[in-house]
Amino acid sequence: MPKCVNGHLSNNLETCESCGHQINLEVSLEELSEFPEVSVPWKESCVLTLGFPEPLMNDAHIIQIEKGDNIEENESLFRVKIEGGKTWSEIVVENKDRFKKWVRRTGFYCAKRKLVVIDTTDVLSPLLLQELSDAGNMLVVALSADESSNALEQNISYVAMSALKQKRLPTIICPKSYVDEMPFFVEDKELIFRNAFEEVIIFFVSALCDLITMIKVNQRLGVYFHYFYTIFSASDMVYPKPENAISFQLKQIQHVVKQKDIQTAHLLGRAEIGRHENLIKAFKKVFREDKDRLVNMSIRLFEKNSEYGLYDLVLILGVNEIYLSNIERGYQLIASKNPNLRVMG
Amino acid sequence: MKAKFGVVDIALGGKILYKTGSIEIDDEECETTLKANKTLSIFGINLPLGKKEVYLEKTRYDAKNFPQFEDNELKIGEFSFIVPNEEERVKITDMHLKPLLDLRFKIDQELTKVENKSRELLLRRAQALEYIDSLKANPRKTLFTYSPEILTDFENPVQIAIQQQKDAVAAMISQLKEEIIYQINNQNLNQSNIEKLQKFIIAVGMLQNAVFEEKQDKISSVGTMLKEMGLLPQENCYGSIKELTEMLTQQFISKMHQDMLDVQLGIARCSSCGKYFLLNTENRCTYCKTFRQQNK
Repeated sequence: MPKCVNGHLSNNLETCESCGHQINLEVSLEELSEFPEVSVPWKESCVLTLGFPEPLMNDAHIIQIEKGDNIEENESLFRVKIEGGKTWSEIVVENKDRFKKWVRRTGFYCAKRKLVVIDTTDVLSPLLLQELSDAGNMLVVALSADESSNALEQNISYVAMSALKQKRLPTIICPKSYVDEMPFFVEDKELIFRNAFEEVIIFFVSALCDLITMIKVNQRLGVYFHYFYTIFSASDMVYPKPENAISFQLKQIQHVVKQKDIQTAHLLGRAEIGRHENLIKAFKKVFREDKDRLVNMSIRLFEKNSEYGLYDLVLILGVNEIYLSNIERGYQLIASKNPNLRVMG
Repeated sequence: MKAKFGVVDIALGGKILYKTGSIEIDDEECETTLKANKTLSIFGINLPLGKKEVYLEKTRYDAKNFPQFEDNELKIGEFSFIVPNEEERVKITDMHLKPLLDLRFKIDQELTKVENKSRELLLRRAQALEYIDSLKANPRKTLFTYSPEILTDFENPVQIAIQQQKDAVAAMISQLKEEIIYQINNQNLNQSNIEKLQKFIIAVGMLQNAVFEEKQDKISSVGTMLKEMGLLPQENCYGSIKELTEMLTQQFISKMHQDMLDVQLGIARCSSCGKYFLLNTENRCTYCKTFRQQNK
């Protein structure tokens, strides 16, 4: 916009509309380096995934890391060339700078809410978790190796989970074998069998704001890590009472987490409105004996219309530490053969 | 007062350096006047008398001192010289044109530098706005097409990309300003023409912004203002920012270039025969007689 000798903006090139003085052509010329204000529509949520097919969702931007025959990167994909059986350590060294630049350019850190979904048994997971920064409003959903994983998977997962531990990134964890065993039906015109974990992620994205709020409260209480178990499409036929479902979830998590270590308990669910009260009562009942010990308890239920009366529950328990003892054997076995495959730093 | 004016080539090593004027005076009154004046001012140059051949030096010509042809007479100020024939008339014109053309080529080159910088600036700005427009529509894809250097994790890549565009445009503005100052200091281009060019650049910038913001009323008002100022050749401004900028710069800059050279130097290039000719009262090419209006 032209500016007059007195600094007024003017639509006229001859004289100022405000004071009638001459237009300062030199200053007006310099003004050309300014552009009209723009607002760039970033999606509020960004999901960074590793080790899963891209979940189908419109309300978040998805970016992925994957292995392939060639190096490639674009606004939604970072492909690492894997050839000749590269170790996670070699992958980190070769790709860390490129990866860091890529994440910055995707605008991942600029999203209002960030979700990282990672299979920590994937050979790329140490690269992702070692190079990822805590940008705030970020949640990591990690599948960990467990006793059923092989030694190499345990080694990779151990390294990746150690990075999470070291960085104290807010995380919710689920052993990978649980996810593999997690069948799931979706109600459409009929019941369709679907990948359960993909549905979990879609649910997490839809509830990301609540999830992050919950995690942030826990962070302030010194609780960074969480374990979760989901039951999707639960019915009264399988679980006559909702507390049966929640208790089952609790038992599943207790295979990894010790009861005394549990610091917080949270229930995230989707059910018909009429069922919400029962679910709240059930949650309170299950954790009745722990309520004086737990530093934070919360329930967030969403409405779900179900022809068959099905409901979905995610139980999330906060703990002080990440449990790695069950995969330490595999980690040590591999690390003893190749010192480069030890936890860095 | 009458005097004959002829043309002789001065050659050195077989290469014609300059054509010279030779004055043959057969008019007593004229001779008396000339002798009294000691010198004859011709084409803005003082010619010492007593020599038949006069060396014309390269110098700056002023349009006011240009000789005017009227039939077979060449009028310079109060003097008129008989030009014996058409061939001689062309030779005389050529003689004037040589130093004028040298000057014209020099100014042409200098002017072209400023114009190129102006054109580059406006096109770069158009490119920047189109880039930002694409950033608005699809930020991630655009960021990857043109990759900004993001140094820390939490920098907003969009802001960095926009800032880089601003910096690039600012650098070009700075270069243009330096060029303008250089040209003004060297008196190659006059102030009013520079101002006209500056106004044109600012106006195109305003129009670019209006198109970018998709504000029809603003496009219309800026367009009208430009047209009234004689800066916009067409009323309708359609197409992309880049197309619009290209169209405006091409039309305006080439027209302004021609006007500046023609008027400032009094010499024009004939669009019909391609030769340069002195602007004269007949306002037509000395060689092929095509009227200058047709040259526009």
